[in-house]
Amino acid sequence: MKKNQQQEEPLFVGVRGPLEIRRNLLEASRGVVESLKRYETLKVTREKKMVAVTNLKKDIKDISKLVFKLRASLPTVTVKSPPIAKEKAITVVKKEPVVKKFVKKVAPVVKKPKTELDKLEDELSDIESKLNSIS
Amino acid sequence: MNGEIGNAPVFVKINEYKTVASTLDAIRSKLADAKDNLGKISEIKSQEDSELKEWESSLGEIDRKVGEINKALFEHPSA
Repeated sequence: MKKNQQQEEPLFVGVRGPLEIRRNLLEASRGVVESLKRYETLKVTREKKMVAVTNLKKDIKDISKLVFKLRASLPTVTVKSPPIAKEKAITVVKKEPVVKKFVKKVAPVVKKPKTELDKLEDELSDIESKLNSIS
Repeated sequence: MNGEIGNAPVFVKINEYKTVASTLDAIRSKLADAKDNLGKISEIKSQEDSELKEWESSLGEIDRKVGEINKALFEHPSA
């Protein structure tokens, strides 16, 4: 019975400056809609950026291919590698069995497939070693 | 010894001279394209940054308005 009475008597709270509140509310709504508009603009800008980045990536890949083509077109010149490089090569060969033993003791190593970055790292180190053998 | 090798005259016979020249031209052209694209990316990036700043200030304005509404509705003066 009491519960029903409470439901029938709603509670009111006085609002001071309703016009100001209404204005603020409308301005906030306008801000929200403008933000959504900005999001759409930003989306378009990012799409443009993605296209430009893809084009740049394609350009760089093309340049890479062309450089390889240029290297292939030029005659190969055998350059005598300095003695230090030879020593390094020998030491690497000597170290190999030690590494193998270590690997066997710990756990079998599962070879992960090489990522694009790994391939580029390999290529870079190959070029570096060639440069070192020249200088 | 290395210096001697480096200074010694080397004569290289280029069999595919025309191919080399055209490849070099293509590389230079592609480099120009890449530079152009990089410039575009840089331009778009600064545009994106300014759009984000505008967005930030817009959100700040909304926050201020909501704060004022909250104050008017729930922070009544004691008097």
